[in-house]
Parts: sequence; structure tokens; C-alpha cells
Amino acid sequence: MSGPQGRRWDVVVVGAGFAGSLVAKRLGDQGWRVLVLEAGHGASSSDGGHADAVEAYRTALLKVPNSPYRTSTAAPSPAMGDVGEYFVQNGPLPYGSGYLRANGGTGLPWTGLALRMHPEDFRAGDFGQGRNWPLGYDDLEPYYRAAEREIGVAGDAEEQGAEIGLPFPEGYQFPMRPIPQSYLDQVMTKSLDGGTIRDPGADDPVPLRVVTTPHARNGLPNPSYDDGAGYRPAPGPGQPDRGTLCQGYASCVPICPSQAKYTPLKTQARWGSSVTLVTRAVVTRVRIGADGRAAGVDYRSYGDDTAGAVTHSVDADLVVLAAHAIENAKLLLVSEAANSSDQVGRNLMDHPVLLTWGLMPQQVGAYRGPGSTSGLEGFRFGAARARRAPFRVEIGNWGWTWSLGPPEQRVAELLGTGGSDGHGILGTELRRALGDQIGREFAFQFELEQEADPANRVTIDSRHRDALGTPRPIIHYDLSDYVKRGIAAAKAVSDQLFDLLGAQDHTRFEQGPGWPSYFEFEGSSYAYRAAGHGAGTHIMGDSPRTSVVDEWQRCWDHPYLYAVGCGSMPTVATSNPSLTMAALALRSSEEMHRDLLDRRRITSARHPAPAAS
Amino acid sequence: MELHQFAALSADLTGFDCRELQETGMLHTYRQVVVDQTGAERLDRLADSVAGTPDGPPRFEDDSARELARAITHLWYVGTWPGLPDSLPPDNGAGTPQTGPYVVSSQAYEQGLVWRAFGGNAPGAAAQAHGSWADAPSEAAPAPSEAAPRGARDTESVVAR
Ligand SMILES: Cc1cc2nc3c(=O)[nH]c(=O)nc-3n(C[C@H](O)[C@H](O)[C@H](O)COP(=O)(O)OP(=O)(O)OC[C@H]3O[C@@H](n4cnc5c(N)ncnc54)[C@H](O)[C@@H]3O)c2cc1C
Ligand code: SF4
Repeated sequence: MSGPQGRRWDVVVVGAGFAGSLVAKRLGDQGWRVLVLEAGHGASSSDGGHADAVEAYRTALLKVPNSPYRTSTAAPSPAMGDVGEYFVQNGPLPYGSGYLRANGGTGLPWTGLALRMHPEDFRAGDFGQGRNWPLGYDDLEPYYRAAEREIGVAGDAEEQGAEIGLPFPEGYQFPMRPIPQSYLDQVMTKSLDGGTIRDPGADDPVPLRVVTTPHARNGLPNPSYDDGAGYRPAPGPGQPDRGTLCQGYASCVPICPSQAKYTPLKTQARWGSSVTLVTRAVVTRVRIGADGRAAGVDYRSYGDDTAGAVTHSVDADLVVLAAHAIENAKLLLVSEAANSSDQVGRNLMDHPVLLTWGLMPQQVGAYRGPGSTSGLEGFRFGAARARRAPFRVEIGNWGWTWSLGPPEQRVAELLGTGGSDGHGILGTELRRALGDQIGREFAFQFELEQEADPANRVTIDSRHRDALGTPRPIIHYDLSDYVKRGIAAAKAVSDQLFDLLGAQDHTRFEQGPGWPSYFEFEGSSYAYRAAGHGAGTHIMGDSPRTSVVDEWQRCWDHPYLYAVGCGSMPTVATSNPSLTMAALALRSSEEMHRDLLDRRRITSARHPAPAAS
Repeated sequence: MELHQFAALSADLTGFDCRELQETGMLHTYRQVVVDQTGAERLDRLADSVAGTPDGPPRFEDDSARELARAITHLWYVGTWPGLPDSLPPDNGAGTPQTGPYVVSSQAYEQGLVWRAFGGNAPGAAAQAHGSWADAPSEAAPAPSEAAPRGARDTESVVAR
């Protein structure tokens, strides 16, 4: 650490996660002196703590997303399904997504599915649900390509164009060839492709087609990428000069042992020398100057725990909040900043996930390769989205892990209550039962779009604080009937899919601790999991009256203050959001650069020009 | 308890034969875990009662024997000591070991029999050829048929005593 105290920085970035690492990279590349303050622990080992994290994962009793990583009481990390350890959940339904506060952020445990949004997704408001974006697909398209290069996406652009209707520039190829479809996907293709399904929300039967998913994990480099220049996958920390191919470890969440999956640590490894990272630095407040401009931030550093935490203050020309949707909102609320619209913390969105699970008629080789390599895309678009929330269907290749727990749980059940007498089975009977079942397990994961609703929100209250004394997020969260109708439609679709596959449906939702998200709707029982896609809390729009940030993710109320991440998204759509978030971050970096140049012009008497811009 | 006896008991409980258990490299460790957790005597009693029922499913003297049998089987299948409802304080004076549940080691996790039971691998444990997940699954090593004697007791040949 080179003593950031007392120095004036061009830029302070709050959070070395997915969005913050990208912004720091871009601004560092322009020669700006960037200080990145990261609340969580970092690793000093040359592999960025990777080997330790892999070992921690293998020996963790519960292999949940945050389990491999060193977390801190000074900056708590909510687990998936946190029911009150960190969040204060005020219901009516639970907000089920967690995140990770450690260097690299939630981009360490993420799954790595890297889908673009559809042009229609930027205009959800036209369907009478949620909001429209102040920019469109065409504005973002070049930055999608830049993001696909930066994080390394493997996929089939031609298929994405033909089957989803994504516009690409003529002849565009992804950096890497698609990740091969699982055996399960192929079995499904045989039974499903060419068939149709009745969606209660849609007028016409929906044609079925199993479509390969784009991934931020290394496939075979595409020799024709970039007009024949090809692509060189970036290495992970501690790896030699080239990234490894995805080797099917099947543990992408929470950690990829081969580092074939993108994490922000790969971007950090390419940061220029003008970028300085300080870990164990919890930003507590954005300081707003008398002129309304962002002037800097206050942060608290800590040792191993919260004892001996010290408060610091740094000044910067530009402040970028990149602390995750919920933490960004919290920081703005604590700082009493950017909230003339009263929208800070509101419009909290996520992807509620309906899981359905069962057994295929034959062995499908579950638990091999990435968790999902294909999906059904026909329920994401079109007029039906005016009536019910649209959804994307992920074909889940890790058995029942997400719905009921890993195979270990089936072992315990068969041992405890299996057999005709209910006293459990052992020996060859046990071996045969497990051998028969587990390799046939599969799941459908329906990711529902949730519309921006100002009532779903994050607030703070000085009575609820964490160990460092920082307010904890208080969450009010519910699903609208629009989303519930989407879930009901998804269940109806699932029932038909099981029939077409001849698969045995084991889906069952029961009220109780296994399903805190249980609810009843129109006489049926449902429950949802959450995808980890928190969004909307500093929503973007075209007016300072109704939104928090402009199309550049700059706070309307404060020049030189940006809030980046999924928190800016006016719709969360049905695609996993991070590629879009990354594209937005890269686009905003250009505006930040322009802002910095402007600022430099104004104050040129006091500062020399940046080295490399 | 001698290693070969522990192997024979484990074979009866898991449905994997002594050779397969030996291949995991976990025999020594697991015998130690079980002895530490339950005491040698209780383990001996379990082995006696299981060995006393050479055909058909193992029978148990009482619920506590059944609990122990479940725990040992769970250990083999998952690599985790699940803990026992009636776990006793250790009598060897070696300080209080973890009573469970806990993962014995990363090797234990990787060697969990549950993955072998369907021809798979523990997630995060084994690198595969790129794209191998697109292939039809290989046949899981078939469990011995119903008619064969429970477990395999050829322990002398595979387990160093
Ligand atoms: C299990 C899981 C799977 C996922 N899979 C996918 C997927 O397949 N595809 C997809 O598109 N998305 C996925 N996501 C979502 C994705 O991880 C997030 O969208 C993304 O990481 C958000 O990026 P961010 O930079 O906004 O936040 P983060 O990546 O969480 O980074 C925020 C950073 O800020 C730091 N920070 C927080 N508070 C402070 C503070 N006060 N001071 C200083 N630093 C602070 C944090 O420690 C962290 O490093 C998944 C999420 C989860 C949980
Ligand atoms: S399948 Fe395995 S190798 Fe591939 S990205 Fe996931 S964890 Fe890494």
C-alpha cells in the first residue's frame, strides 16, 4: 500500500468487484491516477488466493457461493437466502440474493453466463410493465463487443442472431467457440426441438428450440475473431501467459479450479501502474462539496477484524461507486446524496427463479461440465410480456443441487429413511439406488423478469448497524401479480416439458425453512430461489425527477459522481445481467474520461496533464 | 480394530468392495476418525453384529448401532463425518475433537463414493477433457448383483495389515 492518505486522486473507485475492476482498468489505461478502495480482504499470494480458495471450497461443509472466500465482519457478505444475518428482511417475501465482499466481488463466485439483452428489453415500459431505458441496444452494441472481448465470451453469434433475434454487426464472431452442449442438452434437443408448448400467457403455441448459451469461460479460441487476428484467453492470477480451457470441473459456482471462468481478478491483473488497490477499506460516506460536486470519500480500514478500525479521508476529482447494487444505494443514502428524485434504494429487482426438477428416463451424466450450457429462449419476448413476466429457461445440468441440495443430501435421506421399512438402506442396495438416481437428475431454472417497482426498496435505519457501525440494508421486497403470473405460466410450461421428455417430475414446494419464499397464487403452491442479480437501486433514466443516474450512470444531482453496476439498470430483463452491466461500465468509462479532461481543463493550473492520455 | 476388519465392515455398509475402498486411500483415515469419534469398543460391537449376519441386509443390535452404521456409511459416501446424536466425549484425553458434521479433508471430499456410484466426479475435484460433458455418460461401475455375497471379504489381498 503506497499510503493513499492525504493524496489527491484523479479517481476513487469504491469496490474492486465486477464493475469497479473494469472502470479502473479503462481509466488507468488512459493514464489517470485511480485509487480503488475495496471493503473486503485481498490476497497477497501471487495467485490471488486461488489455491487457498479451492482448498477452502473442497473442505467446506456447505458449498454455498461465498464458502471458498475469506469474508469479514467489518464488511459482511450476505449469503444467498440471508434471512436476517446481515439484511434486515421486512418482507412480505424474502429477497433471496447474496453477494460477496472480497477483492473481486461477486464476480468470483458467479456462474459466468454472459448473455446480451434483446433490443426489446430496453423498452419494457412500452409493454406497460416497468421502465424504458434512456438508451437502446444500438447505443450499447459496440460496448457489448468490448465487454465480450474484455471478459472473454465463448458462444455462437450466428445462432444467437437466428434464434434470439440479437442484431450483430455483419459477420461478428465471439472471441471463443461455444462451450459444448451437455449430453443432457442433446437428449433434450431430440425430444423437444420442433415441438410446441402452450404458454397460458401467449396467444399462439410457442415453438421449442434448445439454444447454446454464451459463457464467460474459456472455449476454443476463434481463429476468425477480430478479422482473423484470433483471440488469446487471458490467464488467471498466477497462471502463465494464457488462460486454460474449461475442463469440466463442474464447480463454476463458487470457484473454477482451472480459472477458465472469468473473474474480475483477471482484469485486475491487467491494470496499469497508475491504478492503486487498497483492500480492507470500507467506504462509509461520499463527501459532497459545497458546490454540489463529489469531493471524495471517507473510509475505514481494519486489521483482521473490526478492532482498531481507523477512519481515513481521500479527495478525488471523480468518484465512482461500484460497491454492488445494494451497497451503492446504502452509500448514497448514508451520504444523503443523489436522492432528489426519492428513487435511491427503490426499484430493487432480481431474477426470481422457479426451479422444477426430476429424473430423466435414462442416465444423462449429470454433474459434469458447466451448470447450464443451453436454454429455451422462446418465452422471453413478444406480446405475452404485457400480460405475464417473461422468462428464460436454463437447462440445469447439476442435478438437484439448487432445488434440494447436493447428492450428499440424497445419501443422508436414503440412509435415514430409505427402504420399505423407512429405516434406511445400506450396502449394495444403497449403492444401486444412488447409482440409478443421481445420474438421471436434472432441473429447469426459469429466470423471471421482475419489473421496477418503487415499493421494492433498500432503506437504512441507524438502529440496525453492522459490527463496524455501518447501517445494514433493510429490505422491503415482494413479487407483483405480474411476476406471479409469469411463475404460474413457467410452471405450466414445465409440466408440458416433463411430459414431452417422459421425465419423472419431483417438483414440490412446501411451506417451511427449506422454502422461505413459499407463496400461494390462484390456488397453487410455488416458491422461488434467487439468481444473485440484484438491480435497479440507483435507476437510470432520462429525467432527474424520476431517476438517480443519467445514461452514463452519472448521478443527476452531483457532477463527477457516478454509480455503476446493475443498480443502474431500468429493467433486469431475462438475461443474466452482468454482460450488460460490463458493457455499461465500459461505455461510462468513456464519459468519465471526458469529465476528467473537462475538470483538468478547468483546474489545469493546479495539475499536470496525465501521463498517457 | 484391525484395518482389514474395518475394511470388511465398510464393504458391508457401503456396497463397495474392499479393493474399491482401498483405492480411495481413505481406509486408515476413516478408521481413525471413527475410533476417535465413538471409541474402539463401540466400533467392535458394530463389526461383530454386522459380521454375524452374512447374508441379506445388515441387522443391528439397537438404534445406536444403526446410527453408527449410518454415520460410517455417510463418511464413505461423502467424506463428511456427520456426527452422532449420542456422541460421547472422547475417552483418550486428547482434547475435544470436532464432533461433526465436518468434512474430513479435501481428499475425503474428492473420494466420496456417491460420485462413483453413478460414474461421476466430485465437483471441483477432477479436470476433464474439454467438452467431455457432451459425451454419453460412461457406465457407472455396476454394483455387485443381489445374489453375490454382501461386500467382499477378500481383505487379506488388498489391505495391508
Ligand atoms: C451465485 C451467483 C451467480 C451469478 N451468476 C451470474 C451469471 O451467470 N451471469 C451474470 O450475468 N451474473 C451472475 N451473477 C451476478 C453477478 O455476480 C453480479 O451482477 C456482479 O458481480 C455485480 O457486479 P458489481 O461490480 O456491481 O458488484 P460486486 O461484483 O459484488 O462488487 C462489489 C465490490 O464492492 C465492494 N464493496 C462493497 N461495499 C463496499 C464499501 N462500502 N467500500 C468499499 N468496497 C465495497 C465489495 O467487496 C465488492 O468487491 C451471479 C451472482 C451470484 C451471487
Ligand atoms: S466447468 Fe469447470 S473448468 Fe469449466 S468453468 Fe466451470 S469450474 Fe471451470
